[in-house]
Amino acid sequence: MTEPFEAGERLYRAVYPPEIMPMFWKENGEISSAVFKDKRGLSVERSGGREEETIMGDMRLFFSGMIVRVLAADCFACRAVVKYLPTKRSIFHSEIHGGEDRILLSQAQCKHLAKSAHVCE
Amino acid sequence: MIAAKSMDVRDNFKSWCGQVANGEIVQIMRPGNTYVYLIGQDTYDKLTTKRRMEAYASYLFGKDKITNLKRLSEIEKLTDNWNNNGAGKIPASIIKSVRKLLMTIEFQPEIFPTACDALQLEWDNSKGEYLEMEILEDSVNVFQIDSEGSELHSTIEFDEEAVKALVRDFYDRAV
Repeated sequence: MTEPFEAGERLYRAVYPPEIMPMFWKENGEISSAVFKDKRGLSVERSGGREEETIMGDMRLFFSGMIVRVLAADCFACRAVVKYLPTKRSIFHSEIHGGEDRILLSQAQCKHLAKSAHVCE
Repeated sequence: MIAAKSMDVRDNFKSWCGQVANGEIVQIMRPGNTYVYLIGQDTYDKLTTKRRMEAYASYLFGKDKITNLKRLSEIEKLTDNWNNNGAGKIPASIIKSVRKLLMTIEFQPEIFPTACDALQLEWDNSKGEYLEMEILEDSVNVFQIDSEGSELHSTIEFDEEAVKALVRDFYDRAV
């Protein structure tokens, strides 16, 4: 697995513990862009050729709560940068950054990702 | 409690009223295993206090405001690491400012905590436009998307009147 990411690569993020997540649904049924704001950077797991079921199973070993999915193309569309940053825990670990030199996503980028996000059941 | 049948009411009503005034309850059985109760003022007041308080609060604040104040209280209770990824507790000064804003603002937002130790307020108007304010301790990041998809960013100091004016303008545009 290398950079750059292909546009069609899926990126998965465990958003919040189940007791917290209901706070992030908007009245119109969308997820608030607040879900994508994290001062520590937006960690995701890249699909890396795996089936969604496998990815979800792997993530459930470490995360509780809801998992949402965006495409690398969604990040490119709002000029966010996807960085492949494998860790000891996961060779699939990546981060979505606001730019080459900026970790935090802008409000516009968060809004774009929230609109593009798909909730995985 | 006095249990009775409806046919007993006419003959006993006067004496029951005296007993009910002293705290007794009369249960009158009706067809289909349904009941009518005769209760005194004190019992009635106890039973309806919560409902009347809620109705009064709703009259004072409106449903959205109550919902938001409740939500804010939930957010206030979040402790450090509430997202399991190091997010900090939302600062008390932000909670206080937003609570004060909610009490007087005409158009209630939707409120969300963020893992940037901030509160995010969102408004959507009938033209499909979007207004977001990220309330930080020392400033407010304002982000708007108009009906044609154009985006506008700005940063302002937290000032209740300035926030209200922005929100009013946002809704005025949709009229």
